[in-house]
Amino acid sequence: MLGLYFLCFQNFILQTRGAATWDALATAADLGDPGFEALLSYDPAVFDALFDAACLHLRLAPDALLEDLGTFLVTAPDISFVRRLLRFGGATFDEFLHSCDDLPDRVRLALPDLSLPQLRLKGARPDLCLEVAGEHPFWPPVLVGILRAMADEYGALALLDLTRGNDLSVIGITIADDAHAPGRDFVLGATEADRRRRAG
Amino acid sequence: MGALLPAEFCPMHARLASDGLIRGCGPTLAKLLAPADPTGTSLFAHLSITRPAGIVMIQDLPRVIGQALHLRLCAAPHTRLRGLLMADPAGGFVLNLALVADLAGAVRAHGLTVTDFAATDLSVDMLFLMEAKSAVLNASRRLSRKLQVAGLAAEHQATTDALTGLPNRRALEQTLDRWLGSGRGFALLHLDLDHFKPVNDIHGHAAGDAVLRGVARRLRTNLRDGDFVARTGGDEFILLLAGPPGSEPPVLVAQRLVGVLQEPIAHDGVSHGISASIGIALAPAFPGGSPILADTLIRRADAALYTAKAAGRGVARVYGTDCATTG
Repeated sequence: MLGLYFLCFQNFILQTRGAATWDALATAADLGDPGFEALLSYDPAVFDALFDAACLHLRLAPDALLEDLGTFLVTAPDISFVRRLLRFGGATFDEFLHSCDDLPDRVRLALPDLSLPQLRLKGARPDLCLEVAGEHPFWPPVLVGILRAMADEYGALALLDLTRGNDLSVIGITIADDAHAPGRDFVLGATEADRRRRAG
Repeated sequence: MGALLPAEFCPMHARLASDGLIRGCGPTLAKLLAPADPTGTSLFAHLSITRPAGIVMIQDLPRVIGQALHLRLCAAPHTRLRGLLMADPAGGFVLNLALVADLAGAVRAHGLTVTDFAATDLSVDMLFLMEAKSAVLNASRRLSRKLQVAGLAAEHQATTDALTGLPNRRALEQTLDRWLGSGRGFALLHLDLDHFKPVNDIHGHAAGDAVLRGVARRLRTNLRDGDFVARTGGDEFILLLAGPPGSEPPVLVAQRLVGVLQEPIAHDGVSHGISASIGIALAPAFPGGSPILADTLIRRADAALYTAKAAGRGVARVYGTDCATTG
């Protein structure tokens, strides 16, 4: 399992719950040296142990924790590359949703080891739905969190819900208002320095 | 031609009349040329063709129809563009342009957004790929640096004696090979401590360890920067003395070291008296690399050490001069 997942989860816990909580989870999961490298592979059982410990410690259902994680991936100031790479999908929330079909391919362009399940946007405004193919305990609620944060990103007001199935999960998306708020700044071609300045 | 080239297909195009004046241009090119209004002005007032050379007037244009062109904005920031010029059957020319060199820089400089590129244009995908590549490259660099540091640390640990901090036998073997290969002249001293066993037996390992650390300290202090000392066994040390012409004869250095080690070493209120026996083997200078094998040199020093011990300990002996040669 790609170290990137571990790093994201670690940063998520550290930044939203604090170092003491992370230490507790690392101990519960029997982590020796918690130095994860984004590009290396680690034992998925370790991730499961960390995740289960988190649900227990934070008293959250798995889906709720995963949704929080999804939101964090988009909104965290020092992981701006996730937010930016998603923003390339479109100039409006609607366009972004329609680009989700291509998201797994685009992500693979960036990092061949990172693979998202097949996504398909269906329906017509204002009632859209994003189908997540396959059996994934992890991705559907994370995507709900991501979509929620991206709606904010574009300044849209949307209602989201998740229906889990065996071979298919469906994220219902009702766009209440496309331009509810001004949305966040996105500069095409921003440099590393620009991004750091913006984040810090 | 304007009808066949809607701005949506080629937002960075310009339509030129046969006299070279700009009839109209796509919205993104207009952005690049802003605040100037290009309509009715000469192409060359806004763009210069840098390759091929010599295309400076309207009369020159027909020569480069169908050829890849390199252009530059006349005004700052002199953005570089790639272009293709075609003849307009209705008269005049059509020039289509693309940002290729420093795409990200040009996008930043002119405040371009996703909507300034045609949906069929790969520029935005290129920017995505560049950003993604950048992020991955940074992660890769961090990992490489981390591995490099870890590698150096591991290497250091593998070649260092934990107790004394001196190089260990492995480090000695590497250094000895290097010195023999370089052909420099040097002396190898095999130093064995005398009366060390009782220190451990009577006073315990803490005392023994302290004595060894004391020995290491004294050896280090009494050698020059270019010399080398390693702990190769329990109470065994091997020293390499670099020997440029005119330096102190190794046997004198050895005798001095024995004297230094015979000074008592204090630990926990107890004064421990030890001594040392030293066997010396010489590796003469040999341009292009010494023909002597490392094993041979060590065996010779061992033979000399044996002679030193037989002579009553606390002395140094040189192979070849002071003892029977074993070859």
